Amino acid sequence: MTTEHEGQASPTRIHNRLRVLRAERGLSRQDLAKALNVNYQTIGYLERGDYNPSLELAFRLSQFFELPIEAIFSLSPFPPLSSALYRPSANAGDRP
Amino acid sequence: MNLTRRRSAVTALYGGYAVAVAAWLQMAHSGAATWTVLSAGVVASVVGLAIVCRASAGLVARPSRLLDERQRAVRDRAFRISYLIVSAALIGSCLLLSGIAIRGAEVGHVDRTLLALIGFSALLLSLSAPLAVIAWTEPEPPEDSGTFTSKAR
Repeated sequence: MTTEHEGQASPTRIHNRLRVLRAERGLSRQDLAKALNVNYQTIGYLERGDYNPSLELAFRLSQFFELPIEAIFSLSPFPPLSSALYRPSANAGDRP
Repeated sequence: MNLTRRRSAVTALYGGYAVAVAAWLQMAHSGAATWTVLSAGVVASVVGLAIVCRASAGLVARPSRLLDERQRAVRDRAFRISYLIVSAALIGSCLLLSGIAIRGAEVGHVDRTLLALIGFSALLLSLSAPLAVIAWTEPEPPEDSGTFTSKAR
């Protein structure tokens, strides 16, 4: 998943939901970093999009959050979770 | 340490070194008393080096097994760039010495000074370049610890 410039902001920005997922679980960067065996600053750089993870780290994140990789990472920006939850098609199923 | 401070330290390191070298060469040529300029250059260079070391030495000095994938990538990139810088400096030095030799070199204290200077510069540059590259290029670190107050898990 690491693109042209390893460790630097790359031309292909990979968007992620790490901050939201971390917030949902009430985890600090230190907690997440410890669970993944990386430096806590690396989590910060990942969240900010300054660093694109390797495929291995992406899989470890996916395993940790118990979500598919595409739910965590995307090439296009993620819509806000609220609009994804309350969009008309999602609500249609709730109607009698 | 923030980016502005790290870049100022790199500027102080190499700027101070350039000033010190210029003062030293001037003293070797004309014997003019420029100890103040030389001292100022050396002090700026040493302070800059200390800050650059503090900001980035961990990545360069620590063994790979203690670094994560991002840190290893940053370190490898720093060594790659500094290799190019040191190679360019080495080629420049060779050309300079060749030029002096072709002109029919005046053998004297100035030439010995120049040789010592090139040797010292090569040592300093090869040791400090990876640190300086990291200090110059690493983005600002995340500001907060990223702690959330509620523990949902």
